[in-house]
Amino acid sequence: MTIHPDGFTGALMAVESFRDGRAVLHGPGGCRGYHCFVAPKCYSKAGHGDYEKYSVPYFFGHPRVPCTYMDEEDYIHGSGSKIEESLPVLCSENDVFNVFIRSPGAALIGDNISDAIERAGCSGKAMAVEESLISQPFSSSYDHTVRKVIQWLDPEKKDTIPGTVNILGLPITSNDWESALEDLRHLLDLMGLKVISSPGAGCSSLDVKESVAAEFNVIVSSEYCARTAVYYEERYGIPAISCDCGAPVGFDAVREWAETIASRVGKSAVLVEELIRDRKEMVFRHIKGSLYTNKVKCNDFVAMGDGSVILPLIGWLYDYLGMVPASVTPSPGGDDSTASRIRSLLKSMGSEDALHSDPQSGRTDFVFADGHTAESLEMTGHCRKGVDIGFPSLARTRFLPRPIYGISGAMYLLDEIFSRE
Amino acid sequence: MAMYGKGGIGKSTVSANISYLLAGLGEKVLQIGCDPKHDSTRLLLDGKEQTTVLDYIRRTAPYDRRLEDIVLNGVRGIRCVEAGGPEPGIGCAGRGILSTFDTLKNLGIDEMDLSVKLYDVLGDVVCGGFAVPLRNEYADGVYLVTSGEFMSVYAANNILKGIRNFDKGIPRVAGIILNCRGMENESDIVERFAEAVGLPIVARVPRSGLFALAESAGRTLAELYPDSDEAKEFGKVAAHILGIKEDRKRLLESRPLDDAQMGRIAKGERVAGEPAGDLSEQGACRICMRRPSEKKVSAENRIVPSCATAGAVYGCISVSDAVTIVHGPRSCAHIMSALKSIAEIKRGDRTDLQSARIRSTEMDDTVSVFGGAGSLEQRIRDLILEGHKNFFVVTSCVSGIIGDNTIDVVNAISNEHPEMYFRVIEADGNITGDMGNGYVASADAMLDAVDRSLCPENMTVNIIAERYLFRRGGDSDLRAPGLFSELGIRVNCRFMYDTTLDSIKGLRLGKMTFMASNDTEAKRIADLVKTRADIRIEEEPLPVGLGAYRRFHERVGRAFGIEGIAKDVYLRGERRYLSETERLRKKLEGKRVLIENRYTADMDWLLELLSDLGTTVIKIGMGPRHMWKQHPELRYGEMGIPFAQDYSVGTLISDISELEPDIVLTDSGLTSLDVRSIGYIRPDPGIEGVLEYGRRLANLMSVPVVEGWRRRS
Repeated sequence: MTIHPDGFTGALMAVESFRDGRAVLHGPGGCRGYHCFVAPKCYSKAGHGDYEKYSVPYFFGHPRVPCTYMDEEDYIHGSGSKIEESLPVLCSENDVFNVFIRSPGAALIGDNISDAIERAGCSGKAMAVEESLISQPFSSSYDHTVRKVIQWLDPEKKDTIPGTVNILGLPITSNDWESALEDLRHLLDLMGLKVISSPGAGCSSLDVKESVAAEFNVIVSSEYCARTAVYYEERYGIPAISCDCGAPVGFDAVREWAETIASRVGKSAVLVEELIRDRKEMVFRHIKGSLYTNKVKCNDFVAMGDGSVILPLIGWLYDYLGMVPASVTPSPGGDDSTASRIRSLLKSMGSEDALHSDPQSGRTDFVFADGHTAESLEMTGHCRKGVDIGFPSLARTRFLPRPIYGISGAMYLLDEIFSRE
Repeated sequence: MAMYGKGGIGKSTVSANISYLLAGLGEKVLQIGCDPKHDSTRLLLDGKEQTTVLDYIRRTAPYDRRLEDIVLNGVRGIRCVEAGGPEPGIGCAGRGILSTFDTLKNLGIDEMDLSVKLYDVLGDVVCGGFAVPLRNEYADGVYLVTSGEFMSVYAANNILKGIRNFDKGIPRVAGIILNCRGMENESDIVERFAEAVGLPIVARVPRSGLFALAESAGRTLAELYPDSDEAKEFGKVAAHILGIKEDRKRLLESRPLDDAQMGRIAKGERVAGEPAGDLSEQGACRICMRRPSEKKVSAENRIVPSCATAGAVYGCISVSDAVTIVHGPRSCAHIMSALKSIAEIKRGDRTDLQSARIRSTEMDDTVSVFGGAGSLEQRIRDLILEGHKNFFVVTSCVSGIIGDNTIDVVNAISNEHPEMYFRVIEADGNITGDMGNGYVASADAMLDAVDRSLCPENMTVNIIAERYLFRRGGDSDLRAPGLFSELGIRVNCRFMYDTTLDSIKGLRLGKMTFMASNDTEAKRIADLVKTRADIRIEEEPLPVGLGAYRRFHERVGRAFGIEGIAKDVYLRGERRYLSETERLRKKLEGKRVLIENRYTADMDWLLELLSDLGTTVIKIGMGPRHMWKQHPELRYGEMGIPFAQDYSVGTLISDISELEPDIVLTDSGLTSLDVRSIGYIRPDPGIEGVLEYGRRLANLMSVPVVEGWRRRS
């Protein structure tokens, strides 16, 4: 199983989630290799001629996550001069803003990056996340960094545009987040709501400036946006709408998510409900039409992931497909109420022992986990099928839609499950 | 203003009294205690202790921290902060001060309505951490608090050195506060010192029983005995501070004395107030020291793109019956396990994953202050309870920087469990070098296990330093041992590929030992195996390409007395190679090839293949980070192949334009060239890997020069 990423990676990915944002790693090259690979895997901003354009110091051919390449002497004497030297190169592009994130080692040294940025006159093009987020939860660090970037962009207050929302809490490390965003936009559109922006999920600095005109923020996965939502509410008076059932994962949670939003904003979710009914009808026909009808019934499964995702997921798999949780492990960073709901839900299924039990203690039918864990456990025979619901597998390049959120997400999950019926 | 002085000299009492009086004069005062014993503000808080910043950040995640949790309101509205510090002997108190100031700044202390900030700072060691208040953005000026004891005066002089190192030429010193201990002629030495360094004695606080009375009441003397002589002395300092606020020209330059001059002061002599010679930083702390340095990231050949910890971890996880603990943040272990997972998934068909052998001590930002030994010990003990018996502990840059004594922690547990296996590799992230260094260091550690009493067994071999990252399919697993199984020879140990401690222990059972390749790390590991285990290493590595394949079979045939079998196997391979290259030649004959070689040490197989396919190599461009095994002039000059060093992408592009090659081969992952180009890496041992590559080269001549996905339209 892959060890869960921490706040360091969370911060880097949060910066990279902005269309015109670029994470700058203040640290050694050893911390860069993985992140300049994973960033474009999650959100590719590749362009023609990148290699030639970025064959310059700090990038060395790779456009994402440039690095100051700290070495041993920097740990002893500080590396202020390296930061100062990097700023003219990094800030030379007009359509990009840079956010410095310290590596774990650099966080110990305490170079004053913000001062260096100010001294270089680059305050409009660069900022630093000063806190060290090492070994902190990935999700809450992602949230923290998104909030910091918004604070730095400091949008001016705008008049509220009725019927508009921002989507919060959709991380770019979620499986095929771009399709998920499209799906959720469509659902909101069916309720007569226009999405202004999606901070943390492919929005630009310009979008952030427009985002403060939204009437509401709608929350997808609360772990990734709780603090950002509070900031929007306190600073701009934009209330957030979240759903007790967690994220819109599986038909039931999607319906509840839509109904919750509709009732708060005074709109109707009828069209969303109709769409879900259509999809469910299609699923019914497919299952009934198969040679061996619903062989997944009574199959057991392992679920590892963000609490907001696995709460609706285990409920849906249990109720909709008759599957039983064998092991459930929420990732670090979830809130207490979600954890408590997961506990209650498992108890209601008679599966309270599944919580935090060893996912590899025996062979299960399905594993719902981050991409590497799902594939590894399937490869090693720990399960019949591993389904990628979190940090995506970097061993594959995918093209077909594979989101986990929204109606498309429910169809993806069913497709994966029934591929090993 | 900062109050600096030797530990125990009474800085906190002095500071609290001055803060109290300043607040009485209408100032909005913040007092920050920068001493691990964290009692600076007690007298301002009615004798109560407050939560220190370092305790607070230890138990509160960065994004949940609030200023009001660590800034308390004291008497007369004085804002009080205590930095705190680690347990003695653990972590770095100086780093703790840095963390405190960073935290306060991040939480917005600069936005508070304050008119005077008073820093009460331990001045025994003026390292980077304890010197933070000296930085311009914090204290404007510094008072030296001293008694008449020589060590106290000595500490005051050291503080002056620290000030001078920080802001050369900018006056920063406010003066001296003499806090008497009741010694005979106590003022004399301080006066001589003050005269020598050119500073005024702003106040002379007499030794007095009133301090003890005030202490026991949890109040300042100035509050309880406002009309006392002692309080009046503190009043002089408060007035002096307000004077400096009005006119910063009252601050003086730091003019510390050298050791000889201090010796004269101790002897009762007067010293003319001349600045001493070069006084570099003393007592520098490895963790918290700051000093500007001119270091640039300007050239690729000056950077380290990987770290030794990763190399050591990848080496250690080749041992299937051990767990490898990364003593560092979770991010290090995540990165290593994720990259290994990618490799394993791409290879497929494995049942025992090396990525699953990695664990982390999950160091967070508090370890810089409190150290990480506790988390390491706990992690090892937990793993023992889980049933693990063999451990590698690899240190990261974080544990390296904070100077954790990993070896002692592991030794202590090892002594409790002599039946278990423990090895520590102090890789320390990129401090000790790159991935190769860590890989070699892990080999060094593992070789401790070799039983030197064993003798080689017939028909057995070892393979050392095997690495096949990011290859598709599981063939690579089989190709190296397949070379030997065809000859009826057993592989005894695949050292550092997939092995066990028992297998390493029996390394000497192998009659012949081959390097998997001849890159730099493989050679270094070969040297280690040779010296540490007294094992002879074959000069040539496992063969790649026909020439090496022939020499390999001749050598192995002779060594095991199976010349006939070896020759038959070779001839079968040769026939296959010749027939396949003959077929591929039809597409490649006469083609002109340009090679970009940024990293690959061994290209003999490629040059041989290209020759066998009838192509002509027109130039080899060697990247700035290239570590050639033989100087290119000797190697390629003699072969008549032009070469270039420090080869850049720009040069490659201009060469393509000028030389007009038919094929460009790169090892840098460059995919954007508008010519027929393809990447290359050293193939698996034997001839099949080379032939696979040959087929791809031939296919390159058939496919579009620019594939559809790369076309702009």
